[in-house]
Amino acid sequence: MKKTITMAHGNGGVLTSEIINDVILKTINGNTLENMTDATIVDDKYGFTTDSFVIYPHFFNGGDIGKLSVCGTVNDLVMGGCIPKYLSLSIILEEGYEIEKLQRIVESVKTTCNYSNVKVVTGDTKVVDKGHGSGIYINTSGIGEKIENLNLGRDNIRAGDAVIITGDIGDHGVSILCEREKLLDGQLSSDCMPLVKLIPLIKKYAKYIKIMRDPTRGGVATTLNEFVENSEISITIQEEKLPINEKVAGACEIFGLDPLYSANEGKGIIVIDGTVASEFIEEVKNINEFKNAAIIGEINKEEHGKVLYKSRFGGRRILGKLTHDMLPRIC
Amino acid sequence: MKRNFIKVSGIVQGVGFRPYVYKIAVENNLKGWVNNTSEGVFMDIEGNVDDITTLVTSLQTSPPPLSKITAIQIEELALTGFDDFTIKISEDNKNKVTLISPDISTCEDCFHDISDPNNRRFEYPFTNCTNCGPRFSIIKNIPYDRCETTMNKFPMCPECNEEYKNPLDRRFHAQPNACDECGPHLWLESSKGEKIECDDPLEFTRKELLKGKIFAIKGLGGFHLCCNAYDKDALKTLRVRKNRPCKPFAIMVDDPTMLRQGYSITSAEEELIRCKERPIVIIEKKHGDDLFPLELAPNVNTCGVMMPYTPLHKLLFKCEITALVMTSANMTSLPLEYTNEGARENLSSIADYFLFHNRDIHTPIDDSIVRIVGDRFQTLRRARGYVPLPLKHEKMNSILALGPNMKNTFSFSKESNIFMSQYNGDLESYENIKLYQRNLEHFSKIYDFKPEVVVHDNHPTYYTTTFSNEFKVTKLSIQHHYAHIISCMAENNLLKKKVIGVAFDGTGYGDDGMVWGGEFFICDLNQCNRYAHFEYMDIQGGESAIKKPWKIAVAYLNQAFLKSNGALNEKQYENILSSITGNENDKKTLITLLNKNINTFSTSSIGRLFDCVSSLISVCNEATYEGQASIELEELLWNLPVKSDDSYNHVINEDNRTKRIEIAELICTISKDILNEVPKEIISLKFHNTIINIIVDICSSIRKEHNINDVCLSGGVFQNSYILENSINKLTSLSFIVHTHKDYPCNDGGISLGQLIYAWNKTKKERL
Ligand SMILES: [Fe+3]
Ligand SMILES: [Mg+2]
Ligand SMILES: [Zn+2]
Ligand SMILES: [Zn+2]
Repeated sequence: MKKTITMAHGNGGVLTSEIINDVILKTINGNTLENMTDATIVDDKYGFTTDSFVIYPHFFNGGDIGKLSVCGTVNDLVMGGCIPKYLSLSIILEEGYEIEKLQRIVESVKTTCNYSNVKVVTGDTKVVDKGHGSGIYINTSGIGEKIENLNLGRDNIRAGDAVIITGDIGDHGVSILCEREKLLDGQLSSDCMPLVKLIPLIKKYAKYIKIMRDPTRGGVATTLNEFVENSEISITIQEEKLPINEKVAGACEIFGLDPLYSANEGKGIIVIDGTVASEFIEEVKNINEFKNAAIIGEINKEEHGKVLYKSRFGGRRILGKLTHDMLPRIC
Repeated sequence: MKRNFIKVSGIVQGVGFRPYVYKIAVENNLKGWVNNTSEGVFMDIEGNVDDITTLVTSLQTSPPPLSKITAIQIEELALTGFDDFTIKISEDNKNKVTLISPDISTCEDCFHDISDPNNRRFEYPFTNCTNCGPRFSIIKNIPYDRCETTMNKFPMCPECNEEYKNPLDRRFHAQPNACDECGPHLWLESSKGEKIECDDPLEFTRKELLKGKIFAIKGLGGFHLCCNAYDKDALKTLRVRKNRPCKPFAIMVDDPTMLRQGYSITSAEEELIRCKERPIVIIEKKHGDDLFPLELAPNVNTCGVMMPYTPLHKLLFKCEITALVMTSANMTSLPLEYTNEGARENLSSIADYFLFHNRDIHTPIDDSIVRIVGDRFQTLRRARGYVPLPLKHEKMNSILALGPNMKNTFSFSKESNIFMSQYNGDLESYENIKLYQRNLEHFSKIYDFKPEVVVHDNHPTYYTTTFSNEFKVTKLSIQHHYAHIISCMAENNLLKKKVIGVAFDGTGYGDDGMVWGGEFFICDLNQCNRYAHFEYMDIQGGESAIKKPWKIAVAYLNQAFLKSNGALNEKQYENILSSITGNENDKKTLITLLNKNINTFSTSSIGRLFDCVSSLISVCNEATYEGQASIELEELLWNLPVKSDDSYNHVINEDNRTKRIEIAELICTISKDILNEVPKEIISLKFHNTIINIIVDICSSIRKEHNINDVCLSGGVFQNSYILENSINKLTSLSFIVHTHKDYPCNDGGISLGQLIYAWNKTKKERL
């Protein structure tokens, strides 16, 4: 491992796993963190999670840092199989930050909490010297109630299970890049959204659902890799089935980026028993927020621990995790 | 009287060695026996001293045509009194290396058999004998015996069996021996998988080919897609269906002399076309009338040609058929199809008909591609006809070199042999990775190979780098371009020397984490110093930019302008920028992304520099196949009957004791020529000459400082025959000794050899 932290240590890819495993988990060795889920079930009843938000710009098409900080924690709870109930809200402000902006951010927190049916019940505010932060950082933690009959984990995944995404892929990452670098003037929008409207369906299909995750940093490709790495199974996803917004696809084409590695902030990946997949996906698509949901692939035994991407023309390639440097391999 | 035990090693299996010995023994009244083991051919011989000498002499001077003897060991034994001379059956012995023959084109005798109406093999498409036919592609295991090949499902008829058992017959122990009675047969299917009933599938095929139909034909190492080379519409259809708009197709002709009408073929080239390996040979068009429609090879003035190498292919050339397109049958990014099921599944949208047969191909192998540049032989793709011939070396430990990611081959060492696999394609594709693994398993099995050392490329995300983790043995890795140069050194017996290494290609992971590709090294097997390199230029858009030369042109032009200090004024810059084909908004976005350093990488690649120039002068803006932009830039030179020495000035600066060849200034000068409406051909020529001058300059300054006179040219850029030939000529005229690749490709297909030699040298020392 490199001796100092680089930006790549925060991209949700290979280096992020390295600091989590080699530095943090090794030292803390708290066994509740060990199975690497974003939300952890405690006392068999409650889900508990935390998330920090350092996004810049603070206001962007489709949301702001306030909305994002609720979505992030709420979605970790929902994807961890819980009904979100209570949040903490910790804000770190930089000297000189406009109070008007803070006001708008907190209002956004409130609106999103209402939508998600969660309450902010505790909080904290700190101010750092000018130059020691980028205006505002937020941390939220959340507690939820575990959904009954739901048993989530990589070990449940079997060949024949279907892989579902609840909507278009890669919107957040690409739109934030455009926003930050002032590209394609505001055509794209973040997908930032709480996933709470999935809860009734998660309850209904509880015994068929194997694992869920919100594919944030590192994108869909990295999340799928985490499902199968070091296992005996593999995932094959098909290009023609991937729901991708036309504008996002266009932007990716121009930037030379792959939407499968771009972050999402309002999407869930759900692995569900293949026998109920088509029935389940229809119900998901009936919810307006998830009308672009799709079955994008399946679990199989083609390989050990790999994610395979089948192109329109029939050829396949191995879809790895996001790596520290996406250097070209091709002549 | 004397008794000798003689061991002959080399390629001695399946080449008619035992009947050859038998014949000489019988003629010379020798007694004893001969057999075939995986260690080689053994014989125990009793007879007159002179007669034994006759045998040994003929082993040395006129062995069977397909054999390659590497050693003859003779031991004297006590007389035992044999009654007769016999051929013993094969004995399995797995201690030593048996050399397997490549697949060899049909011999003249067999071609004669199939064209003689009185011969029982008249028009039989699977005719072969001990001097010809399939070998490597049908072998499942060794020793090479029928039961270990895909011919095991065809019991021989009494007549074939007679030939097989008769030591004086040309088909004695010819493992794939067969006839119409007992052997494999052909049949036809439509693209929908319906069997087509007809008396003569070959006649049907010929007729339909003449009508413009496209066939998938199962050959020796895999399927070809085939159509009449004169048929413009068929060529167009094939291009559309195969989604291959531009990449040239290879052709097959029965009579190469007919090509003289449209191509300039030297006698050396014709000899190469006719050689028993039957590779695809690249030849150049003459100026004047075109022999074939332009759709055969759009924007390219060369043609890849081969002759029929199986009876099946030979039998296609009848009636009016004289030239056929024969292109490897595969869908984009999928490997060569070689099973009937695979062909049905993946080729039904391309072919109108399938010409199938039921002799299974165990190991798929592509056609090899070779060429003559100046007076040097050059292999561009090493496969059928050449694999698995080994490169001889001193005795080595067992090393596995995993090869590069693109144009992959792997190599391994066993005893004193280095075996290089056939071309495995690009390991970006999962299907090619599976093929790679299968080929590796197959080679490991037939050569009983287990690696003690594994070596791979330095690139952190090459498949081979990840794959190396599956071996629990000593692991080494080597820089891509250094491996290129060592590969060239190995082919030219320079392993004890210090050389000037010129490695020019598209990409390779550099020691500084940048993408290299225009490198001058001073190196020997122990170390490699980067003496000079091309200036780093930024490219935006990762791998996708490589298919879009316009992006590279915009990127380089933008950087050249920013660095130019007024050499190019704003207006000139804008003019050139707008002359590059492409959407204006996309160009603007690209420049923003470049300036903000979003998804960019830096490279010293010459391949990319060619792409840039190619797009700057609007030759190729989008590449539909690898190397298209560079190839089409070189092809412009063909239009110039006289090629001058004109070139651009080049500037070399130095930082941290490494010389840097400036690109920005070169781009500015080229831009001015574009503005002055200098013809594309001239710009291309001046650019080519500049690259050659740079090679000569840097080599000269290395010689001055370090007194090294041997130059190794390696990397895919040396597939450019103008660069190759003129670099050789200029360097030679300055008394450099110039070494180039011959039997192994200068492109990434040759890298595994360099990796292996590097690992051998490193681990050899550690053991001392
Ligand atoms: Fe290379
Ligand atoms: Mg989170
Ligand atoms: Zn023959
Ligand atoms: Zn027969």
